[in-house]
Amino acid sequence: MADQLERYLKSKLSDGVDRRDFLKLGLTATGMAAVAACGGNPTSGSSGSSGPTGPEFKVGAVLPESGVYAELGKSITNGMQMYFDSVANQAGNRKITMVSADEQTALASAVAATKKVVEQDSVDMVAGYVSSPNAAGNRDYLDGQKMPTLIANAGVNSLSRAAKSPFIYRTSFSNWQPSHPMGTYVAEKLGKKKIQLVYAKYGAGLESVAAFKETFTAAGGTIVGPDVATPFPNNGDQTPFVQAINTGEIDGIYCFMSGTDAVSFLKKAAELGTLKKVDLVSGSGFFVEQDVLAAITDAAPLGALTGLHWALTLDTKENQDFVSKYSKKFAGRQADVFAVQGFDTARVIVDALNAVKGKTDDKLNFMKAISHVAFQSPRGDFKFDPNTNNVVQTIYIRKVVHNSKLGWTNQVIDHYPGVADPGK
Amino acid sequence: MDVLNLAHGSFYMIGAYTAYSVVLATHSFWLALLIAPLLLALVGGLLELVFFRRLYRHGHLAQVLLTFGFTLVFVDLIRSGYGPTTRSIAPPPSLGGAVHFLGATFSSYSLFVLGVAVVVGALLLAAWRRLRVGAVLRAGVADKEMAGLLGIDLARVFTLTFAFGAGLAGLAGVIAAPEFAIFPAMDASVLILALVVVVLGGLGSIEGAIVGAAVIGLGYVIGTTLFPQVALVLIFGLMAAVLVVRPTGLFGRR
Repeated sequence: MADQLERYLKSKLSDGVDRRDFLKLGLTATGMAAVAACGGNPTSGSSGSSGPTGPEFKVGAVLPESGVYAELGKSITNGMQMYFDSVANQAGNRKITMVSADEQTALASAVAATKKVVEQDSVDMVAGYVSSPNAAGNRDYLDGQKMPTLIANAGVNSLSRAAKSPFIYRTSFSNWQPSHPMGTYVAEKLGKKKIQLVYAKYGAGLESVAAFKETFTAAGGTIVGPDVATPFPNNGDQTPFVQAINTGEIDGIYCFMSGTDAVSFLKKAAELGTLKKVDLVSGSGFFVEQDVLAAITDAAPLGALTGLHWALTLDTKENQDFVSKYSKKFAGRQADVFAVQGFDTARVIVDALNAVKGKTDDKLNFMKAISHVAFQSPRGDFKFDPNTNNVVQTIYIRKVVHNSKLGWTNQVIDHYPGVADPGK
Repeated sequence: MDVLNLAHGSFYMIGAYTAYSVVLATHSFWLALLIAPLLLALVGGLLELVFFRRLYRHGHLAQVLLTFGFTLVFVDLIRSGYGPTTRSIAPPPSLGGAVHFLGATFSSYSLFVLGVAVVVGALLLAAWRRLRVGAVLRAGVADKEMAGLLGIDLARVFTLTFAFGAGLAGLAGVIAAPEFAIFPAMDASVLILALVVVVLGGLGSIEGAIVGAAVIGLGYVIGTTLFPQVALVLIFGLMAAVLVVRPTGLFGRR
């Protein structure tokens, strides 16, 4: 590499460059050689003369590093890091650094983590929040501080509606989004008109099934009661809930559960053979996302149809690129929807910083730049809705299949583009 | 033995994770059922020898502090080894289905769990009441000094009992693994219920633990199914009511 540089410099010299140009080239070459010495990783040697000259831009990442959501936090962090690395950790002539604080599980620790990054680390913006109570609970503080914030997961609808803030945008989803098109799909495209609702009884479960019910009943479907509502989290036996599914009288179920609850529920349902007795198993995508499928393997509900804003198998160049690079960068770890949300969050930050040329003192102007960011994400078209400060995105209808290469996964069979939360 | 061990839930969790590893490596649930309790008995015995025996003199608060510390250590060890993802294992193929009788459907594996619980409970009760080892233990708990004067090597008895208890927790972990999900917080999910069971039944009484488990188990499932809003209130309320009437628990003597 050094040899090539020397040859290149000599050729430039013989072209008759002047002294100043030569100096510039020399400096660039030094920078490149430093990069080469660092194992070719362009992030570790970015302090050369070609690096940004503006002040450092600090992003406070408030994400769970411990507790039940630690895995989600890790995926989001990985996704963000991956995008920042791809632009050499700089944008708008400013070097981007991530300062992390542990969101943990409970609101008290999430509040402390937020205050830590804002007051102690003096970050320029905040990104993160996996759990909805934590995002909602920090909303007033962040809004009061006029702190530019991106919500990278928490789906509670109110953040796009009554509790929206000009300083808080959401890059992930609102709970309403993945479920709303499913009602139409089940009633109209599949013609299944009798559905029983099954859900973990907490915010996300209630908001998801409510969104499904809205379109499903509007399209002539009937919700067959009583709803099967499990405690959240359910550490006890799932049998009574599985058996409360009224297989004789329904065409199928619509379900919201995630993580550990989905795993224990689906296993018990497989043992009892309950889901085989209904025509349709449908739900929000989190019910059968990759983490759940990897845990239950052959107890997976083959053919289950769910709605989500991403799928591992989504066959676009952006997604396949993302999936393969992610797994290469993080030691074989499979990409998931949370990693995509992190990746897009970082991209919004970078694009907005570039748009304002690194000038973020005018917070409202910076937020305006954020609101105008639009791009092709691994999940498809990504843009913000000016009415809700929430992402507008495609919802994919996916079917649980067993694929020879990926094992149990979700295959995209239909999609609803441009789904926007109805908040005003 | 008069030890308050909050790390008992950790033994249960480690049992479940051991089952996961064994099943992953050998595809045999039955092998896991053998290996995990032995491993946990070893771990429990070592912990007793090195740590717990120093604390018998210092009362329950010191034990709570130490064993609570161990729960934190174990959960972090598990998380760093297995990651925080939820895992699961399938029931053995012979128990993977459902059976129908009396017009209802039961999962074969749930019935198996029920069967194991009855057998283990009956054996423990029989050993406690009828065997020499039971008599030695009862003597050791009732009056350490007197039992020592009678020539019982209490240190050894306590180590073995602790190891046996840890092994039982490991067995419970293996049995629970196919029934529930395996995840790093599963120790806490069972520990609280276990404490309620023991307090309700009466400290130091196996009969009490069996009756307490039946009452709390049924109460919890019926509660979460029929009145989900008040399920936890129901079982804690039940415990409070029993304690008001019988401060030592249903079968407690002290």
